[in-house]
Amino acid sequence: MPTEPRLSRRAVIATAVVLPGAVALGGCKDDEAGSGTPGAVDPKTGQAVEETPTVDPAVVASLSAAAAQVTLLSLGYTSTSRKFPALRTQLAAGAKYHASHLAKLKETAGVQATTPKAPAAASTSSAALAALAKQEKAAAAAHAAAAVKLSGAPARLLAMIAASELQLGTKLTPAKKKADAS
Amino acid sequence: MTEVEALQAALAGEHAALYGIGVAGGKLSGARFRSATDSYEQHRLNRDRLSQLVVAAGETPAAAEPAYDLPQAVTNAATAAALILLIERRLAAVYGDLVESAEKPAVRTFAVNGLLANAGAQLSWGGTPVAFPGAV
Repeated sequence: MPTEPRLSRRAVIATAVVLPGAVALGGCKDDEAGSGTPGAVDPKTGQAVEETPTVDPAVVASLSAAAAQVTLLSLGYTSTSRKFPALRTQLAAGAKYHASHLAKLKETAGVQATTPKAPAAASTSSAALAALAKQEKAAAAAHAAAAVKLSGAPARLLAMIAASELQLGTKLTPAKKKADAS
Repeated sequence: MTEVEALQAALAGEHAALYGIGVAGGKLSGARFRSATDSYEQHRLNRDRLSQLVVAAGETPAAAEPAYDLPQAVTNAATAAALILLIERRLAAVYGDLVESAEKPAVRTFAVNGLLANAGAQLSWGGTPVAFPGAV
């Protein structure tokens, strides 16, 4: 005749410990209005305050530094276009892309671009183009290095901006210089 | 996407790039042919490095397909250059994914350099600058 399994003393104690907790949780209803903890509340209005997720300060610092450099590049395009109107068409795409870069960088909460003093354009149009090309390449190198130190979407954003700056710098480099460099 | 998945995607992209550039090279000559040869060599190095990174992650590297469907017919030098430009644009997006998914600094460095190289190569094959090379 089979004997019924007997509960060990340890199992009985464990069940006794777990059960009250299960009963207590079973009494909770989280689908009712007003249930649960209210979260942060504005003391003046008594309304719940929506909190925006905070971004890693290191990411904000890195993107803000990039935004400052992009702003400086934009100012370079503006001052060059103003001094040499004949270059306006050639510089239009770069100016537009830097505006896009800045807008994208500023989408991250906390990112701010300092407004540096506009750089003076060079005395000749070819020198001005060469200076812009040099600045683009320097920015590309800086942003690529910064991208390596970040991760996720901010890393990708900086890498894509660096790639765009590399393209713009290459396009602005006079053909002779390109041939010399290759 | 995990880092390994992005590495495998980049590896698959490089396999496809090698096939496509090989086909395009057959329609090129002179300086364009030499550029295609340099490009092929660079992508071969990238493929090998990606294989190493996948193996280092404990996975089996994705194998190349015997052949690939080309997105457009390659009949002359112009269509050959257009194919290589398309390959570089698509690879830039794949490397963009890898930058975003990378967890190890060595992988991220490789991915950023790959994205920059693709962006530069696009100009060599008739492309113009864009605001966000590697954007999906």
